[in-house]
Amino acid sequence: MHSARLKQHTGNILFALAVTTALPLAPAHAYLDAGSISMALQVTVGAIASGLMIGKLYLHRIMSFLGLRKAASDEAKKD
Amino acid sequence: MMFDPGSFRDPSGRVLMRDSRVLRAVFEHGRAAFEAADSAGVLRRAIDKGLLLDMQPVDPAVVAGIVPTPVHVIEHPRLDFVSYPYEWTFSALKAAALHHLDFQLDLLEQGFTLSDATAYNVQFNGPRPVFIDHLSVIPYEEGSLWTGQRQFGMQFLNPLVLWAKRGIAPNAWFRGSLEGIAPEDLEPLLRTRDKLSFTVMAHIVAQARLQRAVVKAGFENKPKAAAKLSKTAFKAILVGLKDYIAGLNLPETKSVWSDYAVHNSYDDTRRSAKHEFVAKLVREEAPGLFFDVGCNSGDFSATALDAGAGAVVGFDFDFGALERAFARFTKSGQKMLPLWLDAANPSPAQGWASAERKSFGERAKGDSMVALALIHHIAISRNVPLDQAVDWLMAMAPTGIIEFPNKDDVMVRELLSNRPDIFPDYTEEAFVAHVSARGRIVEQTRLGDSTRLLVRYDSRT
Repeated sequence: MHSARLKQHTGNILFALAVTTALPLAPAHAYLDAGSISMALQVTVGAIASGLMIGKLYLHRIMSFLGLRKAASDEAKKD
Repeated sequence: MMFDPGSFRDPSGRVLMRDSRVLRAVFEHGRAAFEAADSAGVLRRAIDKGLLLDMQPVDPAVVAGIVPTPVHVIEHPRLDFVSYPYEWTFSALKAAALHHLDFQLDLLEQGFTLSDATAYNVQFNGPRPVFIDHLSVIPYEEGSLWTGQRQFGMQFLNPLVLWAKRGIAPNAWFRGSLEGIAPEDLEPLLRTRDKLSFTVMAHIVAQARLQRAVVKAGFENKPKAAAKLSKTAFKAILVGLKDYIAGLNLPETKSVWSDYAVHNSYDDTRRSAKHEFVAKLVREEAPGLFFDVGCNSGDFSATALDAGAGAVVGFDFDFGALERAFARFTKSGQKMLPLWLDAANPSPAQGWASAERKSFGERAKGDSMVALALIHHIAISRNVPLDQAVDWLMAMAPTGIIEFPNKDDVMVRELLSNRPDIFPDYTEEAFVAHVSARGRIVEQTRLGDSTRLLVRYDSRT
């Protein structure tokens, strides 16, 4: 449980650093309406989100295999 | 016949009222998307799952004469009460956000998506959210971007983050800014530790910084052509938001589901007599829509529902009490929706043409109401003349019960303890006279030797 949290936090911090350091160097998009700005980032956000989702899935499988977390089917039953 | 003044943004169709029927006209612009969703069974399945408000096709002749001429007309069941996100509790906003994401994910599985992400398209049946805009459902095109991302952030994610991370209720801000809270306005309020999450970084911090960078860089260049977002990446964004929002909680109410102590100035006998007085009103009037003004955590709403009220909408100023009420009725499954209301400053009519979002007064038309332990807060704490307070309360429903605590009451004494008594007209006799001037007093009761008088009125002629 702790290692999962630690990993998640490490990932989040790395991403935070990446975004904040990359942004000032990013090419100016000049005029964009506010909606386009969110969409300009969407592909990057989507790629990272996919990575995180796969990561979570694998982490979950590993934790289940090691008996550190309930299997997915048990979690689903709770819902 | 009039179009609903809040339904004008989407050229695909408009909502209109005819007698008391809620109709939606689908115009040529929205024909293809609506017919695709309808014929694929997507809308019906969403209705059956409780995600989407029910609909029935009706003959377009019922709206003959409207311009443009509709290609389809559908009818929806009337909602008990239309509420706005700036009146919702934290848990209601969270439930609405998760509902939107669930619906979006469900649609994506079937090759459809939502054209926007406005919180005003979610309404409540009791504490249960339901999506109400059938024309927002459009076919999904592989690679298309999520057009509603910024709107979702401004109207769902950002207010929730402000509430959960900083303990600040966003309602007053949201009410003044109907489109919600922009990431560039929220970001400076967040601490470093609030930002240590992919969701906050990606959906708030990065958005805000890019916005600032863009403004700083000037407006000369055209934006780049939009890239493609794969369906997998789109789903990952939605699932990520769902997981993050599901984990958000109010800082001070982690145990909202647990039992809580009820603090009030009554003993049990008086309380049960008061509950019986409310139950009797409900049994005799059988109200479809019942208002509980000053509902607290919903004790008397529960009594009204148990006695047969169709649906209860409760109002209170205290977010803690509203949270407890929302949790309680989510658990019981009863139709009670607790909403935030400052009685001395109810929601105004606002938005485009000052009509897009209706005022509290326009919407607050119930069959029956109770205002228990409330009127002294309006008349004394807020200096509203007693006759006006009675007017305001009795305008909400033709039948109801108002409780009047006199100046000997411990709570009233408390209100007057630190201020001069400038309320010579705050008397039981004056109160009874004000009610009598506006309706018939059906019954009144004093509970034991109580300093509180319960008056049941009927203002129908």
